[in-house]
Amino acid sequence: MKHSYRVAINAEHCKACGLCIEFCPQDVLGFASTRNDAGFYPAEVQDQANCIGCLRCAMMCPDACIEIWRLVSADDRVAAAESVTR
Amino acid sequence: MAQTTQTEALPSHEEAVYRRPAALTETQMRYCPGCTHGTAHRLIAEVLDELELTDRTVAIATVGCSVYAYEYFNTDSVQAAHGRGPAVATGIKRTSPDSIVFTYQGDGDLAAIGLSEVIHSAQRGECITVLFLNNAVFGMTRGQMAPTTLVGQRTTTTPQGRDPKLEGTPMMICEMLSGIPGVAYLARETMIDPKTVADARRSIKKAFQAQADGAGFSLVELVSSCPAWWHKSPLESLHWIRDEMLTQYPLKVFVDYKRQD
Repeated sequence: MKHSYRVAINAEHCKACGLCIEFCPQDVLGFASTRNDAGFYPAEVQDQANCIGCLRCAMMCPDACIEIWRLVSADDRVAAAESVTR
Repeated sequence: MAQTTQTEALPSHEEAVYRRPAALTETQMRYCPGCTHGTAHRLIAEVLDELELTDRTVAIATVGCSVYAYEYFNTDSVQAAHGRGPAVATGIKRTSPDSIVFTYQGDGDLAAIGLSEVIHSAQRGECITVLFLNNAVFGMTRGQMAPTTLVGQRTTTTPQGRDPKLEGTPMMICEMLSGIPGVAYLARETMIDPKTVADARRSIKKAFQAQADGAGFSLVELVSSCPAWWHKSPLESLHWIRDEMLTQYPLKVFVDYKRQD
């Protein structure tokens, strides 16, 4: 089952070091075009569909501003329940 | 978390794969962009959460860039005088033995002014954990030479590079402590790519586990970056650690109380 993921970046805490962008194997992330309150161009999600949920960005982020969520659709949950009952 | 990006309509359900650890407060860390201090904080917080030690942990913030550590950890904290983290930790651990006590010290704090404190704590086998951030400069005071500065490395006080005839050679803290019987866990790790971050997390976890088991003194040296005073970009700093610092400071688990040699 192929999962899809949502990467959430706390743009106000991001200091634009770029490590998440460098270490992302799928080129999901990039720099935003607008500044945050501290004056940095924070990292933002640019290609959400490509994310494979490997957590490399979250592991490298020095400011702990990345959170990653797995999307579980209603179909997935039905399939999971069926696989348990089967 | 307040500000999050949300690109698509949410499906019916979401599961967290990775979240900011609960042992970190929501305060924004004041470190420079790309400084691995923040990564180390995050790993410590993850380990405290995983081992369920957060509620009985006392963090000892020391002097250096990490002086505000007490604002970042969701634990009880004490701010110690320069270099005196292990001495303060000794007092807290002896008066409340059930607490988990760790100090978070830079190389200026631990290897320069606080060298005797850490050696004597190890010699006494105090059940404390020391997190030692080695970035080869005094970061807080604008990048002067530290005892751990590499030979030939330019700093504001060694503009021609560190000369071993004048300033000596880099101080190898882990090697110094490795022969002491009171040491239960001793390792040198770094945080330059996801693999080494995972290794560092494992070592930090073992160090806290050693304290929770009452095995003795534990110390993890984390070879860290200082992009601001190395005058490098965050990524270049990580490459400089890999190419220069790790040849001087090889990664190794020196002592592991669970490993039978």
